[in-house]
Amino acid sequence: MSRTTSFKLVLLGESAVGKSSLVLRFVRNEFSDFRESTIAAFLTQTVSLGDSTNIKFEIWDTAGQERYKSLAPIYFRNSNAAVIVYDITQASFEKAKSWVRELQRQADPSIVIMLVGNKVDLESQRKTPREMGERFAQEEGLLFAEASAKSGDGVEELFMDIAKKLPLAPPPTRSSQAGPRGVKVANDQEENSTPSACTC
Amino acid sequence: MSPSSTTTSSSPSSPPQSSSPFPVPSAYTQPGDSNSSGSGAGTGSGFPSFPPTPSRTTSKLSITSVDAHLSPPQPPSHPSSAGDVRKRSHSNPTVRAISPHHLSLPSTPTKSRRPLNANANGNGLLHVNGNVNSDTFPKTLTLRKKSSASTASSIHSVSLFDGVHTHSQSHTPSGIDTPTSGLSRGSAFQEDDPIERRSHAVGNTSGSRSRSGENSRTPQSGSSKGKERATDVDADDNNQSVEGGISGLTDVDDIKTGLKELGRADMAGHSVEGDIEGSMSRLDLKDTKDDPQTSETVSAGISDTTRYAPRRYYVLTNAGKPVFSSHDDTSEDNITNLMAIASTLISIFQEEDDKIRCIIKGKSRIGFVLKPPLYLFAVSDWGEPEHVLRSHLEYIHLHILSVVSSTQLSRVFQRRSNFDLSRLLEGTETFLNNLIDHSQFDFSYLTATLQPLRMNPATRDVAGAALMPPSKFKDLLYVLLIANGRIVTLLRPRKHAVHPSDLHLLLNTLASSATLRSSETWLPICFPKFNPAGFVHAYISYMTEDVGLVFVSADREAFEDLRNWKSIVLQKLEVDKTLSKISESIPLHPYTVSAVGCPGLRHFIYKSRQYIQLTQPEWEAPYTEKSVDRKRLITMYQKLHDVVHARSGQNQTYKLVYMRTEHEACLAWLTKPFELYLTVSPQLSKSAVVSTANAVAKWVLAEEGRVFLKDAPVF
Repeated sequence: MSRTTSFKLVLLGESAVGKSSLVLRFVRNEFSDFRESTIAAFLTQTVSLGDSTNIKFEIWDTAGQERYKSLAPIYFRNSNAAVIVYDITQASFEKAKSWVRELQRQADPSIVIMLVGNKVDLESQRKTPREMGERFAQEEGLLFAEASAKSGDGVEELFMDIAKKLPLAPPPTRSSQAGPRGVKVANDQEENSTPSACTC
Repeated sequence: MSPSSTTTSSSPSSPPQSSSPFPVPSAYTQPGDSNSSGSGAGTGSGFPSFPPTPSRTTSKLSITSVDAHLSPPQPPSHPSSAGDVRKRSHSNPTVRAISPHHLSLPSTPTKSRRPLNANANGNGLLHVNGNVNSDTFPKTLTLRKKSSASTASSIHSVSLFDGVHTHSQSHTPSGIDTPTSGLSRGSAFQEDDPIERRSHAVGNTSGSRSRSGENSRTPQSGSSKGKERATDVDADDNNQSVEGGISGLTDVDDIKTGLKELGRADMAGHSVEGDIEGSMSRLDLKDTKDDPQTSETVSAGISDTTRYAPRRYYVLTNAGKPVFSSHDDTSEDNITNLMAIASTLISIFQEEDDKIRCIIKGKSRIGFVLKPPLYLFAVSDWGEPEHVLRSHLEYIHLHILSVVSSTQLSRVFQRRSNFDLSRLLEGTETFLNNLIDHSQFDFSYLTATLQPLRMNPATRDVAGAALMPPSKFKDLLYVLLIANGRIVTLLRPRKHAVHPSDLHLLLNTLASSATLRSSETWLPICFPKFNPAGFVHAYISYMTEDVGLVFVSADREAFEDLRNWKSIVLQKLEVDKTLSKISESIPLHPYTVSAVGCPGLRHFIYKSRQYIQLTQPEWEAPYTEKSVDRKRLITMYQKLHDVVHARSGQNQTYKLVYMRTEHEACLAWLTKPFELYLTVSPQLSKSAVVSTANAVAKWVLAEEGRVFLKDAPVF
C-alpha cells in the first residue's frame, strides 16, 4: 500500500489572475470563463509520485482582493508550498513580486514557492515576457511555470513540480509561531464570555 | 456631524422583541448593539445601531418648492404651501415656497443660508438634473432636514403622500408635533374618543391632510383606557379609494372587541368607494385637524403603470467618490455627476451640523443615510414610508461593514480621506445587488426577523442535538444548519445571541456566492451587530447541494478543528437519515394561503414577536414575481408596518389598522405575541376580515412548531 503525505499549499496573487481557475482545473478538471471572486476556499487533491508515494495537497485558494490581504498570513503561515500567480496579459507581475517578498518575510523559510504566469492561451495579449518571470524566479530561488487554466496547459505539471520538491518526510508544522499580523478577530470580552464547557 | 443622533427612522426590532429567548435573547449585549440613537460607540466609523428606532429628538426643516409644470395639483398646492410657510415661519422665517426650477434651502434659526442655495445649489442642481438624470433627481424638491440641535420634544412630520408637494415642518412652539403620517385619504374614520382624536390631530401641521372622505366616528365601548384611540389609515396608491377603519385598543384582550367593533362599523357602511379611476385621480384632501371644512383637491396623476420603477441605490464616500451603484445601466459619467450632486446637497446641510434625510419630489423619494465615511442614498417612486428606504440603506451599509469591518474602513479613510473604497469592495457588487433584490419583497429584512425552514419539529430537534459542539471549542460563536438558504436550526452560546440582521448578512453572502457553497470555506466576515470592529470566521461546508453547515468562530485558527468536527457532525446527521429528511423538507417549505382555509384571504405575513421569526405563504396570483401587484402589496404592508409602529413620527402606535384599495384590503394587527399583516379581497366585509384575522392567528398558533424554530439549543 502506498503512503500518503499531506502538504498544505496556498495560492496567492492579485484578484482575477486565475488562482481559482488553476485550482479547479487541477482538482476537478473544470474551467469556467465566469467565476465570482473567491474569499477563501479549501480543496484537496491527491497526486501520486511513483508507486509508493502519494501526496495529498490541502489547498487554500485565497482571495486576491486587497481587503483580504491582512488575512493572508492565516493561510500561508503553516503552508509547505505557495503558488504565486500572475496574469501574463495584465500588469499583475509587480503584485506577484510583493507576495514573494511577503512570504520571504513571514512564511516558513522552507516553504516551496512556485511562480506561475497564467493565461498563456492569450499569448497575443501578453504583457509580461516569459523571460521576465523566469529571471525573477531564478534570482529569488523559486520554481517557475507558465500555464493556462483555460486550456489546462501546464497546470498538472506545475503541481507535480511542487510535489517533487516537497520533503517526503511528514512536514514539520510551525504552529507555534504566533501571527502578529491580520485583524484581531475577537475582543477580550467575547473570549471571556464564551462559555468554556456546558453540554447540558 | 456626529454619527449619533441622526436617524429618525424606524425599524422593526423594537425592545420588547429583543427579549425573546431566540434568536435575540434578552441577554444580548453586543458591542454593535448600542441602542437607537446611540452611535456605535467605539466602532471608529460611527456605526450606529441598526435598525434605528424612531428618534424623538429631531426637528425637521422642510423646504418646499413647487414646480408648476410638473405637478398637476395646482389648487391644492397653493393652500398647502401657504400653510406650510406659515407654519414654518415661526421658526424659520426665511423659508418660502418658490417657483419652478429653483431650489431653496431653508435657513436655520441661527444662520441665513439663502445666498448659498441660490447659487450653489439651485442652479447647479437643476442644471445637472435636467441633463443627466431627470428621473432620478426630480426638479422639484422638497427637502426635509433635521436639526441636530433640536429639542427632544419635537417630532417630525412625514408626509406619506406623494404627489403632494408641500411638506410640513413640525416644529411647533409647544414642541409637540405630530406627524402628518397616518393621515388618511381614506374615508372612514372611527374613533371612540373625540378628544383623543383631536389631540392626535392637533399636532398635524398644515402639510398634513387626509382625504376628505367622510370622517365618521363610531363610539367604541370596550377600550376607553385613554391610551390609543384613533387610528388613521393612509394609503397613497393613487387611483385607489381608501377606506380607513380605526380602532384603538389598549391591550390584547381588547383586540377582539376592537375587531368586532371594526366589523360593526363596516355594517354601518362607512366606506367610500373609489372616486376616480384612470391615471389621473382626484383626491380630496381634507385637513382633519382643526378645520374640517377646508378641503383641498389634489390630482396626483400617478398610476401604477408609472410607478414601481426599480429602486436605485447609491453609495459614495464623504469625499464624493462613488462606491457602489445598484444599476450598472447608468454611465459612469452620470454616476459621477449624481454623486457630486448628492455630496453637495449633503455638505450644504452639514455645514449647519445638520443631516439631510429625504427629498421628495412628485412621486419620487430620495432617502439618505449618512454613515461617515460613507453616504448612502436611494431613489424610489414606490410610495413607501421613509423608514423603508432607510432600512434598505442601513442593510447596504451593514453589508459593506460585513466585508471590510468598521476598523478597516476607518483606517483606510484616516490614511487618505479620498480613498477609493470601490477598490476595496471589489467583487462585492453581487452581494449588494442580491441583498437589494431580497430586501425589496422580503418582509423579514424590514422586521429584522428570520424565516426558518418549515419542517417537522422532531427532525429539527434531532439535527440540533447532532450539532451540539464539544466543549473544547472555546471561541465558537454560532452553529448553523442551513437548507436552501433557510435556517434549520441554530445553536449559540448561552451568553451570546444572534442578531437577525447579522444572520441576514450571512445568509445573503451564502446565497450570493456559488463558490462558497461548492467547496469548504473559511470565510472572514464581520457581524456588525455582534462587533462591527472585527472579523469572525465562518467555516462553511455544504454536505449536499442545498444543506450546509456553518460554524462561526472567533478564533481564526480554528479551521482545522472545525473541519474535523464537521465530519463527526456529518456522521451523526446521517444516522437516522436526518440529513435526507432535511433535504426532503426543502420542497415542502412553501405553503399556500389555502392552508388556512379562509375564503377571500390572499396573503398574510405573521411575525412572532417572541421568536423574532416570520412566516408567510407563497405569493400567489396576482402577486406574482415582478408584478406591479406584488410591489403594490408589499408597499401596503410597509405602510401598515409604518403606522402600527409609528415609524413616521406619530406620537403613538396603533394596534389595528385597516386599509382598503380597489385592489385589495389589508389589515395590520399588532398584539403582544405577534404582528399580523393580511390581505383579503376588497369585497370582504369587515366582519369577515376580522374572522379571517382570527383564523390566521389560530392557524399559525397550531403550526408554530413547524414554521418557527422554537427551542434552539444553547451550549
